[in-house]
Order: sequence, then structure tokens, then C-alpha cells
Amino acid sequence: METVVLVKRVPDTETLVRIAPDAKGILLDGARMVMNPYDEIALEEALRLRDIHGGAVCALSAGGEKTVETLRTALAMGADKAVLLTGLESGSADSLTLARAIAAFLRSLPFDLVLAGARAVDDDGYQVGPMVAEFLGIPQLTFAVRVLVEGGAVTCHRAVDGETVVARAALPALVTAHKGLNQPRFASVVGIMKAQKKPVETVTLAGLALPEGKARVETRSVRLAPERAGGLIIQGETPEEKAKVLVRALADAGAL
Amino acid sequence: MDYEHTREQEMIREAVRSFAEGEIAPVAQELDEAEKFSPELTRKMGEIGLFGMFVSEKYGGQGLDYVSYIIGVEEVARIDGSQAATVAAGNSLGIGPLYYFGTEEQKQKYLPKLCAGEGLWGFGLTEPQAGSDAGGTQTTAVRDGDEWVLNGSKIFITNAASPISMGVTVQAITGRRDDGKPRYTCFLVEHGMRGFTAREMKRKMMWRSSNTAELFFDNVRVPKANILGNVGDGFHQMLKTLDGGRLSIGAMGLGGAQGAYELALKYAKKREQFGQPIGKFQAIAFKLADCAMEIECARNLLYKACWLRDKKKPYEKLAAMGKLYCSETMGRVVNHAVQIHGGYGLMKEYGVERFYRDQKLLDIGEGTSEVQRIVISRYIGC
Ligand SMILES: Cc1cc2nc3c(=O)[nH]c(=O)nc-3n(C[C@H](O)[C@H](O)[C@H](O)COP(=O)(O)OP(=O)(O)OC[C@H]3O[C@@H](n4cnc5c(N)ncnc54)[C@H](O)[C@@H]3O)c2cc1C
Repeated sequence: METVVLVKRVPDTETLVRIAPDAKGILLDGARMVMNPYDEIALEEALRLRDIHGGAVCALSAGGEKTVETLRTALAMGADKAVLLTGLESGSADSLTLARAIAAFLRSLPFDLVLAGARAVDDDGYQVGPMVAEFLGIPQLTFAVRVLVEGGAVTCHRAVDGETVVARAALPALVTAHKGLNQPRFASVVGIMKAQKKPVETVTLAGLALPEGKARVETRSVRLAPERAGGLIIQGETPEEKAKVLVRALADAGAL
Repeated sequence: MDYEHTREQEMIREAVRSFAEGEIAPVAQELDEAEKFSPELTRKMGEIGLFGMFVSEKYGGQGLDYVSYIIGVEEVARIDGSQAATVAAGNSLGIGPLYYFGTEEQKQKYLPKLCAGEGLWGFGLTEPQAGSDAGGTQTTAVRDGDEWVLNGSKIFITNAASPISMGVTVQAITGRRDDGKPRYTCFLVEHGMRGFTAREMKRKMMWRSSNTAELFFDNVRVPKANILGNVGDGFHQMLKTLDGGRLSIGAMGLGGAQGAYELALKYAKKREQFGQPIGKFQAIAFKLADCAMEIECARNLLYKACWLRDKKKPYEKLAAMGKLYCSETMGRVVNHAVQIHGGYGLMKEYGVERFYRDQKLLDIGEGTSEVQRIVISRYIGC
């Protein structure tokens, strides 16, 4: 079974976020960059499925030169090969342009299953996976917390609104991975050394004969979430007195 | 001149860091408080490749350079001194002598399991009467046909009484040289040999989830095949082992300093007094600036020593300097780190007190700071 995993390089969620001077993005210099945690889950699932069904796992990422590091991590975890899609710097591309490019590349590749993270922790779009499936005209099963491949079909348990929906689709299909699907492995030292010998192919966007299509979404501004204001502790000797103070405070705040 | 690590070394740092943050950090405090060695965690450390990094793949190692190994120890120490001790002693003192001086049969027999983190091996040099003065060893081995009979005891031996300990390299006196000085030989004593007892030492101040043992040899009969290298090589083997071991203790100082510094920096930005983060007070900011500077110096010194070793150049003087400087740097950093935390720094919930305690061993183990100064002063011709 041939599996492609879409991975994205994102800032570690522990990173202190700083807004760029033009307020249209965040500053990434000095930030620790990691593989999107949901993509790690997707990759882990692909590796487990490979152990059962054989075949190869290919990690695919769109980005600049530094993105190769993330692909090497995927290889160190156990992916067999990696593809870097260049010419699409994130920021200038919206989810739609990105998905269109990834789909265009995937058309040139034999695959049975595409796995992607349900979301990326940096811009929280939830879009690229499903859009790729649409462009490719293949079924998509999102928010998977269990994945089973059998008899040319994939069955997923999907976590939806506190319920579990069991859905099945014929391969080739696209599945997006949700928290709880598995516990991703750590890259081992042996894996890292093997990764140095595995191939990373670079594909430029120009070579993909994409239809014209400018980004349709433009980021106007990025702001930090407002800091939470300090709470109010109601003072008073007796419960009655405290209740009075509370009612007055609520009235002053226009809440009553 | 090139101050960059290779891509592979950077990836190893990233991988060990993720592992240490994900698997060690959540249990470090708990294991410390319970004074409990964890075989499970040791096996996990073996799975990601923390044992045998410098050992050839032929024996189950990773075939990497010494710099990579030191980066590994440093990243574990950034999170927890005890686990770093298990790794550093397991490699430098356990695996090292077997790999560098063992016979082919000995390597085949022991190394694969040790490199997988499924077993641990100790290094028995220190005795109740022989600490800094390693020449004061009193343990003896007397030949009897194809066997040697060991008598004596060892103390403070890391990794030697855990549920997965397989054996210990023991230095013993095996006769006298022409000048009357003792001749030393190292023996590979396996757990289970009759007359050999290993007892875990409890109630330590630091490295509380690292296993430390007291060993007793009561007419232990060791087959000839368990001599490490040749009869009479013992002293030389021990000195060589300690040179390498110093680098790993240095890595523990460096990593521990980095970990404590990061905790202090984070806390200084968050904690407010007099209406502003305490990190805005120059008295606090200067402490952190000193920490950052000293850690940078320590890192450069230690990596240079490792680089010399990898290049097969003399590195012994720098190894002693690196061990001493990294340990003392961590001493100053943990002192600042606790101070910056104020009263909370003394409480277990904040983790920084563990770094404070764990540091003290680094001034004492594998040659005290005084002994390092003796070594360095000899190298500079005093
Ligand atoms: C947790 C732990 C783990 C250890 N693990 C191991 C292990 O795996 N294997 C092993 O063999 N050993 C191990 N050790 C032992 C350690 O290496 C010794 O404790 C150390 O070498 C010091 O010896 P000592 O404790 O007998 O102190 P002493 O040698 O008695 O020293 C006492 C003091 O006198 C000073 N001093 C001694 N001689 C001189 C001198 N000539 N000039 C100036 N000052 C001097 C020392 O610096 C020190 O300050 C471990 C120790 C601990 C605590």
C-alpha cells in the first residue's frame, strides 16, 4: 500500500509569539520549529499501516529550504522517502493555492491513501487536507481516531461532537488524523542515521503546470489575544454584605 | 574554524530533547521523591538510542562520534540529573571499558544487551578507603588454576544494584611490580557469581533515581576469560576510562546548567513584584546574563574537548578543564536559579531545587574538583 503523509513545519506551541512589524504575520526567527503535532499522528498511523500492509510511506511538505529539516524528522521516524514542494512560501499562499499545488503533484504519483493532520497548530485552518481530497476527486474521512484498512477500503472512527461516527470509503482516499488516534513515536538515533541516506526529492511549483490561481484569502492583520484582566474579589463581613457588593458590581458593569 | 554541528548532530539534539521533555520530564520529580530507579525509563532511553552511541553497529551501538554522545547526555541532563547519570555512567563507565579493552568474546557477550538499554554494567573503582587516591585499592585477586579469587569491597558504584544490572568491572590488586608498587587488573564480575553481593545505597541527597551500590566480594571465583584485556592493564584502563568519563560529567553540568537557567529565565519574566516582572530588575537580569555567558563558555570548552577526542588528538587536559568548569558553572547557575525563584525555589513543585541538589555530585564524582585542579596543574607543568 502506498501512503502519502502531508506534513507541515510549524512553530512549537511553547514558543513565545511575537507579531511582525507590519502586523500581517508572526516573527519566526529564533522560534523552535517542529512538525505539526497532528501530522505526527498522521505519520505514526501511516507507519503502523505500513507494518501491517507493506508498501512505502512518503512524507510531503510544501515550504522553503528549512522545511527539509522537518522532512528529515519524518524520515527519522520511519518514512521511506520525502518530497519537498518549493515555490510556495507559506504566508503568500492560502490553503486553496496550497491544496491545489499538492493535489497537482499527487496526480503524478501512484497512491492508495493520503493522511494529513486534522489541523495545523499555527493557523488552525482545518482546510488543506479536505481541499486536496476535493481537487483529487477522492473520498475524505476527517477527524479519525481509529483507522482500519481492509479489502480496498478504509474504515475510520470519526470523533464528531462527542459522538463516534464509523465511516467507510473505497481507496484511494484521504484521512485526516485527530488527537487520540495514536501516540506518535520519537525519532531514534538509529532512525536519524538511516534518514541521512534516504532520498528527499525537490519538486518546484513551476514544473507542475498549475492553472492560474491567485490566493483568494489575504491576511489583513494579526493581533495577540488581549491579556486577561484581573478578577474582582468581593469583600465583606457577612454573606449578605458580600451579595450586596456583588450586585452593585454587576450593575456597574452593565451585566444586570 | 567551524562552530556548527553537523545536521545529524542537530537532529540528535532535537530528538533527545523531545524524548526528554515528553518521557522524562513528567516523571522526574516523582521518581526523585520516591528515590526510585526506573528500568522502564532506562529501556525507553535504550530504544531511542542513548546507550552505545559511540559503539560500532556490529555490537548493537550507533557508530556515532563522541560529540553526538555528549549532546545526548547534555539534553537528558537539561531535564533530569538522575536519568543523565544512568546514561553517562552506563556509557562511559559501563559500556566504554568493555568496548575499548574487552576481547571479541566479551564484546559479543555483553554489549548488545547493554546498548539496547536492557542491561546495565557498573565500574568499580572507589572503595571505602580509596576515593581520590585510587591507588589505595585494597580489593585483591589471587590466581587459582584457571580462576581468580576476589576479596574486598567497593562503594558508590553507579548502575550496579538495579534490577537490570548484569555485572561490574572491578579493579583489584593482582600482585606487585618490581618497584614494589601494586599491579592492578580489571575483572568482569557478573551478577549471580557466588560470593558477590550488591546492595543498593539509599537516602542520597541527589541523583535519587539513579542506582548506586555497595559491592562485596567474598571469595568470588572469576574465570580467566573474565579478565578485561590483560593482567596488569588495570590502572591504565581506569585512567583512560576516567578521561572519557569526565566529558560526560561535563555534559551533565552543561545540560543541568541550561535546564536551571531556562527555568529561572521563564520565572523571571512571569513573576511580578513592585508592579513589574522581576526580570526587569537589574539585579535579576544581571544574574541571568552571567548564567547565559558562563553556559556559553562551558559549552565551547566541552565541545572542543570532545572534538579533540574525535580527531584523535590529546584531549585529557581539556577533559579535566571541561569537567571542572561545567560542574562549577552549573553550581553558580543553580544558585542563581533558586535565588531568582525566591521561596518557591525551595519547594519541590518548582523543580529547580532538584537541579540545585543534583549539581553537588558533579563537584565530587569521577574525580573531585580538587583532583581536577591537580590534574590540570600537572598538565601545565606546576
Ligand atoms: C552518587 C555517586 C556515584 C558514584 N559512582 C561511582 C562509580 O560508578 N564508580 C566509582 O568507582 N566511583 C563512584 N563514585 C565515587 C566517587 O568517584 C568518589 O566519591 C570520589 O572520587 C571522591 O572520593 P571520596 O568520596 O572517597 O572522597 P575523598 O577522596 O576522601 O575526598 C575528601 C575530600 O578531600 C579532598 N582531597 C582528597 N585528596 C586530595 C588531595 N590530594 N589534594 C587536595 N584535596 C584532596 C577531596 O577533593 C574531597 O574534597 C560515586 C560517588 C557518588 C557519590
